[in-house]
Amino acid sequence: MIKRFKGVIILLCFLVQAYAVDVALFPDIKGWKKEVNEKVYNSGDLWELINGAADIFLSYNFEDLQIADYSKKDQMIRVELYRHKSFEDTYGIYSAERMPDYPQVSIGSQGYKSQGVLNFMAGNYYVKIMSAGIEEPDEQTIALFAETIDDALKQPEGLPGALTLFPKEGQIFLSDTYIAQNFLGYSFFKQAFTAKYEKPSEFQLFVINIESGEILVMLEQYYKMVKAENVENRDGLMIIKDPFNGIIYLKHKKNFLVGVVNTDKAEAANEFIDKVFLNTKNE
Amino acid sequence: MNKMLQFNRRGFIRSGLLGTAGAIAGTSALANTGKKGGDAAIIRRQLGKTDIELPIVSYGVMRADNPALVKSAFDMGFVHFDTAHGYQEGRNETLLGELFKDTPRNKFVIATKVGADGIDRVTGDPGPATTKEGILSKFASSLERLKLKYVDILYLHGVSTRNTAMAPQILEAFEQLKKEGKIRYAGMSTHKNEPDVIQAAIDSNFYDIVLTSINFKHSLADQIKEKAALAAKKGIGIVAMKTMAGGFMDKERQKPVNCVAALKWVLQDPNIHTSIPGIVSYDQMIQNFSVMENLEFTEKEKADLEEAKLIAGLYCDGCSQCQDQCKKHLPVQDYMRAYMYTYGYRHYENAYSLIGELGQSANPCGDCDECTVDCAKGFHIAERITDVARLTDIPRDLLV
Repeated sequence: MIKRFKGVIILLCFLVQAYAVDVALFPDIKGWKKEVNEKVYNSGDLWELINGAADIFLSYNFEDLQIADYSKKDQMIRVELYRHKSFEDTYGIYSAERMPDYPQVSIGSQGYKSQGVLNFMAGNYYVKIMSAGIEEPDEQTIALFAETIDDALKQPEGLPGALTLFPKEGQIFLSDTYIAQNFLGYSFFKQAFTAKYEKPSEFQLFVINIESGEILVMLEQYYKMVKAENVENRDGLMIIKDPFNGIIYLKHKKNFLVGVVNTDKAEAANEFIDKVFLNTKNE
Repeated sequence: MNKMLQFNRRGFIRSGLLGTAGAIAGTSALANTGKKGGDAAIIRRQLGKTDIELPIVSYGVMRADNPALVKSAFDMGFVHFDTAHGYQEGRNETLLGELFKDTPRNKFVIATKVGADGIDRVTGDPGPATTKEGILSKFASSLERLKLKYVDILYLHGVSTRNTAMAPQILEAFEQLKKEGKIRYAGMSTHKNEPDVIQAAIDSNFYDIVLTSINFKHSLADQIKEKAALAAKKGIGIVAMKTMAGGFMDKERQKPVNCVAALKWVLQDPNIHTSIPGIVSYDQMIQNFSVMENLEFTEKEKADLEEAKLIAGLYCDGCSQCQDQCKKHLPVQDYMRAYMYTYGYRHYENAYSLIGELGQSANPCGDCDECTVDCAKGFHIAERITDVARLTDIPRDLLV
């Protein structure tokens, strides 16, 4: 009986954690009145708040969203905390929305700002801080909010380890991203980290790091779809004439599938792919 | 894209690949795509009294991260692309801008949306921060991202009340943009209180188009269809969204909706002029294209939809109306999900686990004399909770 009672308490604690607003994530900020939204948005009702933009959040395993509004006279700052299932998912949605042209900020793992807005990722949280009142607060105030929230979240810093596999030379600034589903428009390709490079012409390098058996299943489906006559094996480098995405170069070793899209320079593609495999050994 | 890579996508889709893609997608509906051939077979409808005639299926770009996919859709015959100021913090509009920058302007139709600032989250009504300038400023950046001189349709994003639909400062902003030639038609998008919003569009004598959510399991589907008919009669274009009903019957995404059947269900209503399902893969693109040419249900689609309607009619779709209504603060939605698992899907294990997580007794309504929960679907909540909560009395081993 005691054991059963203990179990119920543990379950209740879990539920409180899972469904209730975590007020501690929204610290008090001197001079500002805080109002934490009682409603926690989940995957079933995120669209109520952000309309069709919810779809892409769901594709990155969105868990929940908590919101607080801070006000001071005519100024209001809204803080939105989007929590995703994994660090990779959070990085995926953050990088899908990141604007490379905007000034970067050193808050959390990575962040950027534009007028009245500061967005950053911290662990499993994608944080959006925005001016929502009649009068817009200055940049320093928004930055203060970001730093305070980041401290309260207590999340690990850094970016997913897979990004270290990409050669740095020639990589286009902030072109790195993570596609959780439907990579290249195919439902069988998933969990791809990608980055773009400048030379010889702009192309995309990608790395999929999952179980080797799963990679084999992906490739089987892919080769079946493009048909055998469009697949060439040139000394271990697979060259595929993809009807939608152009020429694709691929190499599969152990748990890594590495490829290049959007170039007709096979030699350069091969070189970049080999650099990635070299980096996997250095890990 | 390099010249050597320029395959004839359309021919590829319509000929050789089609069979394979069909096998990937696992739907017989795909077979319809290649056989008819030619644009003549595509069903088009006039968008109200506008001068825009569109294929009945358009492209919701909200999740697209692959320009090649959107380009393929354009090559295949999709004409109308729907985005919004807020999608991916603007990157979605940028993607379309890059894609169409060298395409003759009369070959594609672009719709985007801007939300008004300062809308009250609870009431849905405009507030002091809702300004004409806010709309104009957002739209200016949208136009810049899209690299266009004008958009064909600008929607006011996410309208849920008549007050917002009729807000003078919003109407003034749209009117100004029309006069300046930056938008051709003004619209509203709505996915809450849709019938009221469509009626507001009718009464306004201002809006040309309404983008509304509608699908076979929407609890207001009949009212939306009634209002859409009235609006269409008055010359308002009706565009459908959320046609796939979320793609799954349940939050756990275990029970998929037959998306082709769901799309056909919406478009069989002639008052719905086009639809904007989101497309993120080539097999989805081919599936949706097939609907452009053939709106008749196959036997399987008919059966799948009947089953889905049954589930939707009998079980909770998580509308949240019941939230906080129970005087004992029971998690009503979770119990209703458990009920759906038990009687709808026969997933007893899932129901058992869910109820276990709730940490309630085997008879949580037993000491309550009156149920205070008013369910949107009219379910007798206490009866259902009492029924399904009994699962906790059954040893787990018997359910596996």
